[in-house]
Amino acid sequence: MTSEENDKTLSDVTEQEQQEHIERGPGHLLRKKREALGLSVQEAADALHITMHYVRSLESDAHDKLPGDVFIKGYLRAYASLLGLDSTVLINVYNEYTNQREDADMASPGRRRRRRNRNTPWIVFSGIAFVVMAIVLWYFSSDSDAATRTGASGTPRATPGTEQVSVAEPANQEEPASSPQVPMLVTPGQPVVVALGVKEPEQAQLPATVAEVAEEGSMELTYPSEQQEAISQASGTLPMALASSGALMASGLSAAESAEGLGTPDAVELESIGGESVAQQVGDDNEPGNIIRIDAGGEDVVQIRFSAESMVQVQDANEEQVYRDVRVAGDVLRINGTGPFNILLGEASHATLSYNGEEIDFSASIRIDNSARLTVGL
Amino acid sequence: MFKKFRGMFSNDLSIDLGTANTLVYVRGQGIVLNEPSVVAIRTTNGQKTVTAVGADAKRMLGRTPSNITAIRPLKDGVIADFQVTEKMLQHFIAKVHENSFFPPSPRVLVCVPCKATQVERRAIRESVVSAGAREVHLIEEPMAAAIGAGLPVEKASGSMVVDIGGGTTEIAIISLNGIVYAESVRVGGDRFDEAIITHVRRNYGSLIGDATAERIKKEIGCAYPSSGELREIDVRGRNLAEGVPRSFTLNSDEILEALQETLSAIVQAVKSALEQSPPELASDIAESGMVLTGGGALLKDLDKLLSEETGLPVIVAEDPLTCVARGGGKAMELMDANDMDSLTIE
Repeated sequence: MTSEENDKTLSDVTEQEQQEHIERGPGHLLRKKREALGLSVQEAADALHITMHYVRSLESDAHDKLPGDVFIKGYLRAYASLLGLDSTVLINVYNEYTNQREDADMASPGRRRRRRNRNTPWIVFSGIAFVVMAIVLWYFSSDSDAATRTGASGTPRATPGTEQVSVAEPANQEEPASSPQVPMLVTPGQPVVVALGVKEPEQAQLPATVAEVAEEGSMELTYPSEQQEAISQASGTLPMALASSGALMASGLSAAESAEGLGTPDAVELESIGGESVAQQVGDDNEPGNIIRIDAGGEDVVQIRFSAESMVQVQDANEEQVYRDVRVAGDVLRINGTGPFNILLGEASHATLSYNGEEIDFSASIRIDNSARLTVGL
Repeated sequence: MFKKFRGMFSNDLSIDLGTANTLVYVRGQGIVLNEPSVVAIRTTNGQKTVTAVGADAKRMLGRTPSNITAIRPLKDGVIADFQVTEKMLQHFIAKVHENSFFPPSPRVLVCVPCKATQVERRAIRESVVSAGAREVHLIEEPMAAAIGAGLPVEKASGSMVVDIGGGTTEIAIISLNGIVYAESVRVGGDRFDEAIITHVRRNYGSLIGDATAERIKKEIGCAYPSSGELREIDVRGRNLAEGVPRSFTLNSDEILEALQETLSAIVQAVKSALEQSPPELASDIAESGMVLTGGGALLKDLDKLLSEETGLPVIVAEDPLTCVARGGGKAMELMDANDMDSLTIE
């Protein structure tokens, strides 16, 4: 057997022995050693200046009969040095022995509680910091909300549940007027509402949007007088743009409803939400003009051109109100729907009417107050 | 109010402001600082600035050029230099809160010698407040030592504690969270060093410094004649007659002899405390014994000496150097848990 093996065996034995000592407690070690040295309990007690009762308690591991942990360790140390034992080993055995007997769970909750206590100020601080952050974020987001919406107007998106509408970006405005441009809902009272792919109607109608839209989209806000000039040049606007206008407005107003169909109800609602008038600027700088396109879901097209301000109300074959508003000079109202249409004009002499491309003379229907009620497409 | 807010991010500290060493115990963390109570001060154009504090400053003791003075601001357990103590405390408190985002404003419990006068206590309190503490509590050193050693101070049985510090030895008999009898003698570790220096000068005609004397004490110092081996140490000192450094060897027996006078002062103080104690408590102490704490308890066989002299069991507390600071920390926890101030003094 080599010396290494010898050492290993020894250490194994020591470990085993140590485990045994821990299980039995340090007392038996002391008693064995004292008896081996031929010392009586009385002699040991005298040398240690403690009572015989304490010596016996130490030897029988009756630690509860001794004054306290600090004293027990002191006695053990003194006893070990008296008997020539290694006091550190003995103390280790004692510690392990008492640890085994102690309820291990008693210590950990205390530690956990302390840790929690130490964390409390940080929890409070982070709570305050969180609240402050939330306020700051809210402040900035309410500021930038408008900007966000403006951004949305620059990038057309399809509204879920709404027919995809092809709309050019504002930058395209400067291109030739062959394609429909950014449609824009203009209400004189509460001027501009952009209906481009904005999902929530409430957002689209925030007044804050108006100015920014105008700036960012480098679009002119066309108010009545300007609209009139514009319309004269915008006559060449594509029918396609007209067709899509209904969907745009619908998407600007009620995504859910428009999903069901781009029918009359949308248009009616448009009127109620739009306030005084809903104008739509189409075309570019070369062809200014206001063409209001209403798609009520039909093949027939009725077009009314205004040369002065006039109230107009249109009902389709189902006797549902397709459009009702006041139009100004230069406006062109173009309605796709199912004929026959019942049309009421406030200032009939200042309006020209065409049905499916045919001019209709309705001078006979003009009443004494210059209004006219007529039915076209019978 | 802001101090209170800052206090939320500071730890509760227990400071053992000792003559030789200052220890800081942080609640929940244990002893975080153990440095000598030494401050090195540089004087430039009459302006004093702190150069080093603690261990760095201690290395400078006795080795400084004329413009730097390394001083120990505490003498015999009380403040000798108010301003320097304040600087030292400031340094230590900041060091403990190194990772803190806010300037620290901790709650501090400071241990004071039980025989410190009102003036001395006030000096300590104000020093700590000036160093940035938001709340200061004082506790008597032997009480903290007993709590730190794990004595059953709250029980109705006498516990005797002998705390041998650098400057003073505090002896107290404690029962029911209060001090029944306390005695403070201005004898401590420093006196041991001085005794060794005197011995060397007298017998070898050589002069050694404080640091060397402390090293001798730690390595071969003992309080009771050991039956076993004789330990020796080589030291160098300046020979007074020749004026040049000389090397010589000291052994443990002569150091024991050199320490006799100081040791007997401690023994006398312990005996007198036992004489003064009420009989019930004396019987408790006779049964369980007394506990030694403080750095002086590390002197070899001091427990044996006291045990032989008094005939009582004498126990050296575990980790005696940190007992007072740990006890202060525990006292603070006890005070918080039980909402009581009985452990502290005005």
